[in-house]
Amino acid sequence: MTKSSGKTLEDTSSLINVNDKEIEMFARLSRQGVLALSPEMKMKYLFALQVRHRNLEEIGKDVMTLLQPFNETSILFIIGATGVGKTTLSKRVIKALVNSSDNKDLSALPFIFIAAAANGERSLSWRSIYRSVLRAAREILIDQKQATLVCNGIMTVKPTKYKDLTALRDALESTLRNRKVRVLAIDEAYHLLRFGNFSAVMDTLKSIVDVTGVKLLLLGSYDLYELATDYGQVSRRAEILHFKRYDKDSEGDLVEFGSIVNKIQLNWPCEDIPPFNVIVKELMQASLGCVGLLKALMLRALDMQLQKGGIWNPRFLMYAAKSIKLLTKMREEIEAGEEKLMGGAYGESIFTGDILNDVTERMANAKIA
Amino acid sequence: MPKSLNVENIFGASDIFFEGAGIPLPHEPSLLFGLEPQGVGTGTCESLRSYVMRLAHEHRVPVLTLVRDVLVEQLKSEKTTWLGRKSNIRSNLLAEKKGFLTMGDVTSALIHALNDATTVSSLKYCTLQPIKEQINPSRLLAEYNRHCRLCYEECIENDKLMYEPLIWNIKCVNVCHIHGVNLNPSECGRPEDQHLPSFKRKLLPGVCSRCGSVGYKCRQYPNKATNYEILKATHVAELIESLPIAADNYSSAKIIKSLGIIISSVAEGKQAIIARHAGIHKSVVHGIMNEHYLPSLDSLLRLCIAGGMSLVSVMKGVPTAVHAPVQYEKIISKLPLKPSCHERRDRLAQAVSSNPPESLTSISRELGLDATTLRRKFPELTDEIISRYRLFITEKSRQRHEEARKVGEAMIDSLVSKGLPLTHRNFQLLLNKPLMPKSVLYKELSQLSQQYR
Repeated sequence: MTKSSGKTLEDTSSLINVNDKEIEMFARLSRQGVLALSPEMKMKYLFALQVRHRNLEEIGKDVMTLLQPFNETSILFIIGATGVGKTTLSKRVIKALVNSSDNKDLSALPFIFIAAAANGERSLSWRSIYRSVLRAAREILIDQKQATLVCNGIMTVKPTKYKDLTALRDALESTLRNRKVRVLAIDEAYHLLRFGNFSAVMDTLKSIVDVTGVKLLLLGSYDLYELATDYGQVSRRAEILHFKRYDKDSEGDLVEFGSIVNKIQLNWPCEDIPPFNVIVKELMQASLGCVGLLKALMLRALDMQLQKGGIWNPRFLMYAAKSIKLLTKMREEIEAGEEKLMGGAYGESIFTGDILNDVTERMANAKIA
Repeated sequence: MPKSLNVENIFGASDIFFEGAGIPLPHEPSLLFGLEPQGVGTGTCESLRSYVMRLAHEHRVPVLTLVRDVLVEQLKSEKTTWLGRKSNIRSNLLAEKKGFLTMGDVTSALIHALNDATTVSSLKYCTLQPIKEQINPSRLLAEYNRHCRLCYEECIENDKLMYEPLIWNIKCVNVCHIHGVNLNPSECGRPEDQHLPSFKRKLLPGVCSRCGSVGYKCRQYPNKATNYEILKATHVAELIESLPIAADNYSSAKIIKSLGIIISSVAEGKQAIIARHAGIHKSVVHGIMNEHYLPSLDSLLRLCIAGGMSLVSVMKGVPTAVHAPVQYEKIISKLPLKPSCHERRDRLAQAVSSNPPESLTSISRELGLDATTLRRKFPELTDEIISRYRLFITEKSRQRHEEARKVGEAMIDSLVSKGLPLTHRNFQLLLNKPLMPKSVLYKELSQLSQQYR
């Protein structure tokens, strides 16, 4: 790929720095305004553009229902394929939580969002998780936390040590309480699984939830299902939400995916708009029905179009889409995960299908009687 | 209660929306937790000092670290010249309370800095700053920290938060107005060998900073207080309770007007009479009435009690009788008659041959005369006493060192036989208690360890 005056997609450091001012500006821009943007800004525009669609709305509603304060569910697993839109969903949920809160307390943080990164250690480092949460909560003096012990009516301080686990855990609980955190979201939560004892991991998470009253939101791939179901004590208070992709064999999904493609096409930041609406099936295949992968494909395509002076060429799709082998590997993993999750997600109770129809009829008759 | 949630709340009305890569932050949170001070608007309103200690505890950092690394940095932005050395922070802010509870600019700046850092606006009521224009700041605060053990016990039993009320820091209040008992000095009642090492000590209201006893159970139970003291404490509690609502209504002119009414109604219009009833000098009353200086809280209290008026009403300018006038009664202790010259000589002669030898300081205290005067009047006897006592002290010290040396040698032999290194930690483990650096045993062990090496 040749470079022109602008940066390539590979150089994402400027792309991911879409700041709040730019977002506000994009929301107000007219069509002419979008077309008048510089190539770099056009890339940012498409990067920041998100589409409201059926699966996102449905799971969004479910998440907000389960996050209500009086709902007993305290741990939510949002499981889905890579690129299906989990992070986008969590950002919208965060915004909705903030907007729905009447509390003008500036010291409060209704949510905290961290990513459980794989940092190369052989076992799960709870210290790094705790430190991530404290940093996200803008906590002061993280390296100087001290734990206090009370024994037989005598209070003493555990000597301050760098990265002391008890002190960090104590500070975490205090921060979650004092900042009135409602939701703690951990992205890439499958990293919690690596090299770790599932029961021990869930025990620790459950104790954080019990002590602080915070709701936990764990986002990740299908590997998370084992974590969610391994420990019986957690199952009672946990729900698994399956963020589904669009199935190319379903007529309804095809229509909805077509609508998504249409919306992006309508907002394409070039005068020469590629007619994506005529290749919906192929796009669905190339993105495995995941909106995030579709966006990534379109971003690459836009980059190539901008480098060619804004003239569209269908050959861009050859390079914008993932290779066949990669796609096959991803599809196999997704299908295996969907198979594992079948009957295990929120809404997949005994009250489905024929049973639900029968129950509906009987309850309707009882009302009439 | 949060507003009801629907899909429009989550996504807005449009089909498309825009998101950056980062996580949206609703607002930049405050630097410190928005902890609310306890008891604002009541007589047991929390003091600012207690608030800062609790704030540090919630952040799980040492108090001095919070003050030095966070609050002092905030104070820099207030352009105060009070910064001082780090070693001053402990004494200034914690023991002597300067900067935390005074009526001065530093406290004012600290309140402002804490307001910004915590977004809590009611912190000024944790000090007496709201009445700094009406009350003389001199000798306002108690020289040492005090507490009511019964208040702390109640908090522990009812699982309530322990904190230090502002009223306990006021010098003229010596009792707890709730339980009617004397306030205890907040010093540890346990012997020194039961104190915690400094790195294990916790600075928190309700916790003894030496032995860590929660609720100061290391102190004895307090004694019952006199009615006069309880009355004073009640008046001050009412004043503290009124600060959030009525402090803006107080003024020096109103106080003077109220005092004028008291003088005319209770003291036949004579300042000397009210001064006598209040147990203060008539010049103090004269100075207050003629605006030479602001009244001290103690003087004002005594005048109010002598007039039977409520302190709050006096400060509002509308004195209201709440009890019968009570006169101040000072208990004068009867000093024993001083011994005669012969009696002193006999006593000194007795001390020359006493066993163990007595110090001249203790004898002079007993005789009611200072040591210098005794030496001048009885030079030979006092020289004899001094030299005998010096020899005694030297011998005692030598014996202490001797004993410590023997113990030290035994400890070193024990460690060497077990193949353990001669470290401070091992010595402590052997003793099963902390080994303080200033102790005789520590010094002997240091010397012996060096010789051994």
